[in-house]
Amino acid sequence: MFRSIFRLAQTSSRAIQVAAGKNQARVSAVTAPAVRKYSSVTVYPSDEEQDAAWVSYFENKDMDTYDFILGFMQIYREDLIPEPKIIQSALYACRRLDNLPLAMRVLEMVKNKCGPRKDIYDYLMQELKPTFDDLGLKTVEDYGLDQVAD
Amino acid sequence: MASSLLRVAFYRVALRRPLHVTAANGIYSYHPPRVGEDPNINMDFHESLITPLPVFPRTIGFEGELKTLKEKEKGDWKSLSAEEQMDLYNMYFSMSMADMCREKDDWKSVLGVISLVVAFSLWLHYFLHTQLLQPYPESCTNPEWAHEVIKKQIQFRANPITGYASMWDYENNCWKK
Repeated sequence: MFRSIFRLAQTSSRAIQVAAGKNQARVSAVTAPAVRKYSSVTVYPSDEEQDAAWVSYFENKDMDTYDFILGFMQIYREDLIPEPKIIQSALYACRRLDNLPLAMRVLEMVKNKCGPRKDIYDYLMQELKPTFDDLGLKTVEDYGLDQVAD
Repeated sequence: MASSLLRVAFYRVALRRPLHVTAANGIYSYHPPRVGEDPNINMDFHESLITPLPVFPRTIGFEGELKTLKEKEKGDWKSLSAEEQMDLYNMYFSMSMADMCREKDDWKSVLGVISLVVAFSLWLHYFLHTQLLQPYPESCTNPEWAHEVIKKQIQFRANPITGYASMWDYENNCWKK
């Protein structure tokens, strides 16, 4: 019985990627819930499962700008810095939406999330360098977006 | 050149926008243009540190060279120059996240207004008491009057437990030691 519940939890924690057309079922924003509570057992999806769920959420081809915002804001609200692969899939989702300012804003938000931790930010930029070269993006400092405009 | 124009434009449009327009709606707000509104400007545009991703961009309709730039965005982003990328950014958003985090000097305005109000109230006090109102009666201003009042209270033995009569030594006609 416990095994079947575990399997149910694992399949549910994977992202609900199916969006049968824009007018029908939307891509769900609630992809990897933090906890699944059953009467007999509480299941916490592991970090890798959550990462994989977010990556597959952003790789969905039927995604809308609104879906992107819902998903990425959920990441932004959490008290953590997303993995490079999540940011990478988000940037490619922006590319699919033909939205360059959104990608720049994503990078700004990531920099904001890093806060005082320059080492994490440098690591993220280093991991995302191939993505930048592929998409034609630059870092926030190169754009001059970390300077205050007067 | 276009980017600097757009930066100037965003200050005119975004920072002068009345707050009540955006506060009524949620963060995911966009309204089709109402009657008499410019359909090219999104009046429900709202971005902040808490909600940095607006659903619709700041400018919705484009003419001329901005339209061609938008078409170019659909192609390879490597073909866009740095200035064009900043143009696209300024068309979409009104301020960068660094602008949102910058220090503000609102406290100076608040302090100034408070000083003005305090100064006005002080002037009003002076004007009323010197020009309009009657002077205070003698019972309030004259210290001799207070002495007479206390003497009367002692003579009448008023408040003999906790008042002046309790502190007066009646045999020796002086204050109790």
